[in-house]
Formats: sequence, structure tokens, C-alpha cells
Amino acid sequence: MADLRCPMCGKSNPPQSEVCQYCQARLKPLVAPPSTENEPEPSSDSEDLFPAKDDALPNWLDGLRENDEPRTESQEEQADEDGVETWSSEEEQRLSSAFTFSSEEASDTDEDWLARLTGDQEHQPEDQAPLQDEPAESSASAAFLDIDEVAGDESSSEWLAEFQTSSLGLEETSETSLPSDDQGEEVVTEGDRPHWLDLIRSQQQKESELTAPMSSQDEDLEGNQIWGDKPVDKEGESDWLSDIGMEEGEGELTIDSKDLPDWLVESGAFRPESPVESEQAFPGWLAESDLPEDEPAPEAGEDLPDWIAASPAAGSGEINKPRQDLPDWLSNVSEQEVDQSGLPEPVESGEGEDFSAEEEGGLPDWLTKLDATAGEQTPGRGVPALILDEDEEAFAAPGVDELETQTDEDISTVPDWLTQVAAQEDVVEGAAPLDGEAEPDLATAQLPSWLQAMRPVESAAPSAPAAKEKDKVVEKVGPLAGLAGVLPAEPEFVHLSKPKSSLVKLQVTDNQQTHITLLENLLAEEGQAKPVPARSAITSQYFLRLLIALVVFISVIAPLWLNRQLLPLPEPAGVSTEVYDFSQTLAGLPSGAPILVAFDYEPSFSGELEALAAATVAEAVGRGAQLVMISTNPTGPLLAERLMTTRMADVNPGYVNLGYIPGGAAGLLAFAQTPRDLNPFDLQGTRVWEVAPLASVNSVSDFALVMVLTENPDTARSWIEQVQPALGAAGKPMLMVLSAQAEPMVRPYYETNPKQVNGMISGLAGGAAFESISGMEGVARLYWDAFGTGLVIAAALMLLGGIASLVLALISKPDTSEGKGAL
Amino acid sequence: MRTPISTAVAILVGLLILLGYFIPLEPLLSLRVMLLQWAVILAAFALLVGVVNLFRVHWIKVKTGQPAGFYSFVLIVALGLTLAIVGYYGPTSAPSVWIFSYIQVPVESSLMALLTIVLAYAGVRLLHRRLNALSIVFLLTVLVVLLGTAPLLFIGEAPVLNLIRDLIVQIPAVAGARGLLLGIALGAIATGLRILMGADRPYGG
Repeated sequence: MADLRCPMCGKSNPPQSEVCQYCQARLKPLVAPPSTENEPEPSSDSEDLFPAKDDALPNWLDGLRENDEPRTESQEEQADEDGVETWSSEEEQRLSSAFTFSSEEASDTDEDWLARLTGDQEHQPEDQAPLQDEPAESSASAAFLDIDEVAGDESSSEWLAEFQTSSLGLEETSETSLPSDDQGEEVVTEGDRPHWLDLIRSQQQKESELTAPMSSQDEDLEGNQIWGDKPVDKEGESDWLSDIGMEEGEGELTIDSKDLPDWLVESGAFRPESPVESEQAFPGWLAESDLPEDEPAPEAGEDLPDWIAASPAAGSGEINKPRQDLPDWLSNVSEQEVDQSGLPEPVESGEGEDFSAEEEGGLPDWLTKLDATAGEQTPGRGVPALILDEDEEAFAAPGVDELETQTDEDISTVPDWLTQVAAQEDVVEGAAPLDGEAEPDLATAQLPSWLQAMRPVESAAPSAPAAKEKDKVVEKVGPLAGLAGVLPAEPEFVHLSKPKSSLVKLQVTDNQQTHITLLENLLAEEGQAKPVPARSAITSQYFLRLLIALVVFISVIAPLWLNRQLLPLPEPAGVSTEVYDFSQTLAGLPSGAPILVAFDYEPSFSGELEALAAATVAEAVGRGAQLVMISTNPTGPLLAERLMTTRMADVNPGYVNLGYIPGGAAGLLAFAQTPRDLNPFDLQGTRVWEVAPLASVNSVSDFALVMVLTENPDTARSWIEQVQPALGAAGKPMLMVLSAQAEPMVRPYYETNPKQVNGMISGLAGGAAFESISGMEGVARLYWDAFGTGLVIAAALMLLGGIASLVLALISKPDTSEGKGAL
Repeated sequence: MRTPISTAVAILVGLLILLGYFIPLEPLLSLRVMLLQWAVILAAFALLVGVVNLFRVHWIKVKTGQPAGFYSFVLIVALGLTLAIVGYYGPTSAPSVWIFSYIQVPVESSLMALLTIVLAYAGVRLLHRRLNALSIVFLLTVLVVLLGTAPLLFIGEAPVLNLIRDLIVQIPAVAGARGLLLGIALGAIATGLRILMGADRPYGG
């Protein structure tokens, strides 16, 4: 037969396996439990083999009490409609032979029903092939209910018929009733399968899932196989009975307990003393299945079947130890070899198979272990429902204690088996760290094999312990304060802190450091006042200055004092054009024409310009012009007066001194437009505009000539810009008498076309040239020798100084180079 | 409040004066002359205010005994005497002219004469202070101009020097002067426009 492949892990399993040997996953689907809606009420005529139906008893057991309750057709149909798996006739025969009770036996006591069962088994035909078509369930308990393998027998058929009509509430019909023992083998078809059998099977299947590890445990204990998958032969002798060690003549089980059969009690599956809770879904023996961890595994005996020998419990050898208190049938179970080919090998686990082999009052070892474990455990002290960390315990200590107290006190609310199983699971999970480090304060639990078999693969493999709660951040604010591993109540950015100042070391070279030091010293010295060294009043430069002054003074004074006129005036043919034009302009003045003379020079330049002014004014006066003097300088009128009173005294020409024009260029513009309004009086306060020469003058253009005497180029420009347009429109000339320093700035106005300045005389040289052309000897001639001598001496001094400087420089350079070379 | 009014007055007056140059209208010319006369009057009054301020400053120096108080006293005395004499005798009177001729003119002329000695000494020490090509060129130029201006003692005029002097004065000097004049003219135009647009407010607005 082909192997079964596990749908979970994909590994091959024997065909008879119900559960995968590797991952414990079911290979075959479970049968749907039959509905209990049509469950018949217990018949009043049922044999009183069993005590009154009690809620503590499973339904199948209750069904044993009822017999001669034929199953009605409706019930059978209902059972079929519910999808109850139909049985073969052979299976029903076996079951019926196993569970059939005759009417005569109905009156027997409860103690005899099991004897009849064992007797029926003995009469089972030997050649009755065990039904092995159906795959055996993993648990031996499920085999008991595997009605497909139950061989039919007459005696058992009656008993089986009783089962059919008992607790399930099925009325036996003449057609479907199971034959009694006297009637022999009853052929039970699949459609005639009693419903109660289905219920029994389904219930046992459920129990087998829970008690699957226990199956091996049970088997290990003297080879007793309470729930077995062993098929029952045709004679009605159920293998399950043989598995549990029922021999001929034996099997008189006395039911001592009030509510439970004795064989169950004696086998240790049930403890009458153990508190059976109404709400408990599992028997007590299952609740006490936890074993101490220190109990060594029993050694496997030679006569033990393989599946028992494979279990560690069998290795302890305790299985073969006879027990005194156990019935013979139970004690002989170990001697019989059970065909466990269909049973899966129990999953070996290090802890679950650790069965204790201690003897304790004749009870099986596994029972004693259970007792010991139960006794060791603190009554009412199960695994706490909540495992808290230190911090959490500090926070939730009162509540946790209370919870634990309540947990300890309210045992009735939580079944022991559940707490114990949960405790075992917790212990198992945390008891096998990868690094092998075991927490010293927690004891490693020993899981039973059946529980270990239920464990998934990933949980079976030792895994690393969970992260310690200590490593997690404990919350300090909010309602979750004190708990660890929770999301922070405050975002991380709330806890802002000053960023760490990182010390940045700038790599500075030695040269840079030197420069830095130098700069720092300079900056430090900047704020400090340096002491001014005392300077001597007489130095070498002082004498040089005195010398130069003396030389220049002598060069100038001597010609004046000597009045030799050694230097000739410029030739008239060699004079400059501007001087010539100036002269020509003046020569073209009509007689008696008013000319405007502007004395716009400073008193400091009076020595140079008075020499020029004297010549030009004298020339103009000589031409018959009437002088009108004005000035844009506050000292101008006085200069005019000075000139007229000192230089022109002998001439004594008539002149009008209009005084000062304020406002600079604006005043000139105003004067140029309305001279009468701007200067209505002269310096004496006389109204001159009504008398000659100003009587005919209404604007500046009415003047025959405008002559400006100035040393400032800006003043000359202002006159040219403000007054000359009016003059030019009228064709009146403008002459300039300038200092030598202003000539370059005024010459462009002279060299324009049309000329804005008709003529100009610049400096003493121009004056001398004008006097040369005019043929007069004025101040210029007087100053000409001194002027020439002074210029030559000054030039000579400069030349000598320059030469001396060059020589000194040339001499000092070779000395410096020699000094550097010496160094 | 004061700033917008002064700015508006300045702009208005400037525009009127400028328009007078381009639009020869009689009312505009009359307005222009009137505004110019007002400017002249204001300028004269500003000169008077300056004199008063000068007197006040030096008076404070004299009164507070500052280090240069003596000179301030001399100034105040001179101012007072001049004002008194000229006011009494007249500006063209002999005393006034004498004060001017024998005090003011010599003082200022003497300061100008010292400039001659200083320039001569600077010329002598020019190459000693800064010996480079430009300094040498400058010194030679000065020498040529000085020697070409007047005839040489015991030599007379030097035609070459006169020619070189004329060339230097009339060509490079005038060229530079022209550039300056053009710059001045353009600056004056820009300044005038800025004042007319109110960008510059030299009148304190």
C-alpha cells in the first residue's frame, strides 16, 4: 500500500498512520460527529448494568446500559442523513458481538457486564481476520471506537444491540436490532450501523487527539493498551479488550465507584478522589498527566513492542515492573505483544517522555508520576496567567498578586488540567534556550509524550529565548508608565537635548601658526597708543629749508633792489597769440564805451594779477573806456579800489564800483539779465545806473567789453558760462586776465570756434608780453628780472636736489647689496 | 511735512529756470529773473549768517577759555574794528582801503609766498623721497616749464625751451584740462537732473 504523504511537511508516512510521524499533522480528515438531535431518551427497560445515567459519564458509556432498544427506521435514516459514516456488515457484527448483552444478562449486575465482554472475546473465531482496512488511529483509545474493526459475534452482537438501543435513545427494531448472543453473529450492514456507535467513535476520536501521547504512556505501562486500534476478530472478542489485558475468565471488573466502572478506576484513568469538576471536559487522569522533569525515562524492555520500546518511558524499564494493586488483566498487558504496526511511533521528546518509574502504592508509574507532579505543585499555584517583568511587576504588582490570588482561589473556574497543561507549555517554551543557558529561577518542565507530539515542529525545535524585557525602554510618562516594550508616548524629538559639540581640530601648519601669531600681535598693538618720539626742533631739513628760502629770497630781492632790468621783455613778434588777441581787442574799444571789469581774484594773488590788471586797465583807460567794476568775491571791490587808488592814481580814471554780487553763478546770471536790479547802487551808495556810463546799460550785453581778472578756473568758467552767451549773442568780447595756474583750464574756451574767450593774458610773462606789445613799462617790467632770476634759481635748486638724490640713491644701493652679501 | 514741500519748491524752481533757457516767454523770463533775484538775496543773507556764526563760534571759544581762545579774540577784535571802521567810513574810504591794503593783502600774499618756498623745497627733495620714472619726468617737466617761461640770466631767451614749454602747456595740459572740463560739465548736468527729480536734496529736505 502506498505511503501517505503529509500535506504539511511533505514526508512519507505509513499508510495506516493517522497522524504524521514528523509534524504530527493529520493525514486523514476527521469524521464529522453525528448529530445528537434524535438522541433517544434512555429506555426505562434498560438493564441496570450501569448506574443511572450520570452527566459525568461519557455518552458511550451510558449507552452501554441501554439494551433492547431497537433503532427505529427514522433514527437510522436520520443518522444517515447526518452523514454518519456507514459501517460494513463485518464491522457491525464485531461491534455487536462485542457489545451485545442478552436479556438474561440484563439483570446482571454491573460487575458482570465486563465479564461477559471478556467471555465473548474468547469465543471469537481465531481466524477472524482483523479488519485492517481502515487505518488505525494514532491513539489506542480511538481503536476502541473503531467499530470498523470490531468483529461481529453473537454474544457481542447482542451487547452491541444493547448499545444501539441504549444511551443514544434508539429504539431497537426487530429488523435492525442487534442479535443477541444466542442468536449468533449478526450481520450488520453499513446502513444499519447504530448511531450511538458513531457518537462513540467521534467522541473517542476527540479524546484520542488529546490523549494521543498518553496512548504511548498507557502502552508503556505494562503494555496495557486501553484504547487501541487493534481490530477485533469475528468471534466478537474485541482486540481492545485483549489490548487492555482481558484474559479468559478474568475481567471481572468490579465497579467500585458509584458512578464509574471500576475498571476505569482501577486502571487509574479516573481517580474517584480527584475532584471531578462538572465543567471538566477531560478526565482526571488526563489532567494529571504532567510529570516531573527530573524523572528519568524508563528503560525499554526486551519484550515490549517496538513502539513502546521507542519511547523513553519504556526505556526506564518500569513498564515491566509488576504492580500489585493492578488487576491481572491490566498487569498482563505488558506480556502480550500488540501489533502496533498501525500505530505511529510516538514522537520522542526530551521532556515529554520523561516518565517517572517510581512505584507508588501499586499505581502505574505514570499515574504515580502524575500524582507526584500534582503533589509537588503548589496547590492552587498554577502558572500565572501573566508573566511580568520586574518593572512591570513593580507597576502592576498589586494587581498581579491579586490576579494570582484570584487565580489560586478560583480553581473551580479554571480546570486544573488546563492550568497544568498551560504551565507545561510555558515551561517547555522557555526551558530550551539556544545557548544552553537556563534561567536559574525557573525549573524546566517535562512534557508528556502525547503533549510533545502535539507540539508543532517549530516549537519543538529549541528557539532562542525572547528578548529580555530589561533591554527594552521603560515608559516613564503617560498611562503606560512603568511598562516596557510599548510605543513611546512622547515622540523622540520631544526629548531634545543640546547637540553634542564636536571638537573640530583645525590642522594648522607651522607657517600658518606663525602668521596667526603675527596677526594677533598686530591687532593687539592696534589698540595700544604708541609713544610719540620727541622730535628735535632743529634738524637738517630745517637748515635746508632755510637755505632754499634764503637763496630764493636773495634771487628775487636782489634784482628788485638793483633795478638793472637785465632781462629783456619778450619780443612783440614772439608773443603768444592770446596775448596778441587780447591786445587787439582792447585796441578796438570805442572811446567812452563802458567796459565791465570783474575783479574776482584773491588778495593772495594780487602780486601777480595786479601787475596784469594795471597794464590792461591802463590800456583800456588809455582807449577811453569807462570802467565798471564788479566782483563775485567779497574782497573784489576792495581790490578794485586798491588798484585804482594805488596803480591808477596818476591816471585817475572815472570808474564805477558796483560792489559784490552774491550767489555765485546764479548772481552772475541774474546780473547778466538785470544788472540794474541786482546792483542798483555802488559802494558809496550812489545810483549809478542813471548816470553815465551806466545810463545806457540795461544788460551785460550793453557793455563793450567784459574783462575778467581771476586766478580761479571755476570763476572763469562761471563767467564764461553765465555771461558770455549774452555777450556772444551781442558780439561783445570777453577777455580774461588769468594767473599762470588757470591758463590750461581757460585755454579751451579760447581755442573754441567761435571763441568764447577772445583773448587772455596769463601770468607775469603774459603781462610782460602785453606790455611789450603795448609799449609800456608797467609792473610787469618791474617784476621781470626778479621773476626770471627766481625761476632760474628755483629750477637750479630743483635740479641740484634731484641730482643729489640720484647720486645718493646710487651710492646707497651698492652698500645695501654689499650688506646683504655679507650677511 | 517739511520734506515734501522743500523738495517740491526746489523742483519747481529748477524747472522754471531750465525752461527759461528753452522757452523765451516773457512771463517765464520775468519769473526766472525774480527767482534768481531771490536766490541772490538768500545767498547774501547766508553770507551774513555765516559771519554771525563765525563771531558766535569764536566768541564761545573766547568765553569758555579754549586753547585757541587768543586767536579767536584777535579775530573778534579784528572783525569788530573792521566792521566799525568800514561801516563808519565806508568800504571805499581810505581807512578801509588801508586796512585792506596793509593788513589783509600782505597777510594773504605772504602765505602765497611761503608756498613758493615749500614748492621749491619739495622739488629739491622729490627724488630723494620717491625715486622713480614718473618722479623724474615730473621734475624735468617742471624744469623745462620754469626755464622756458622767463629768459635765462645772462643767457636770454632760449628758443628751444620756449618751444618745448609752449608745447607742454598747450597740448598735454590743455588736453587734460579739456577732459576735466567735460567731466565737470557732465557732472553738473547729472547733479542738476537729480535735484530736479528730487533724488538729491542738498538743501536738507
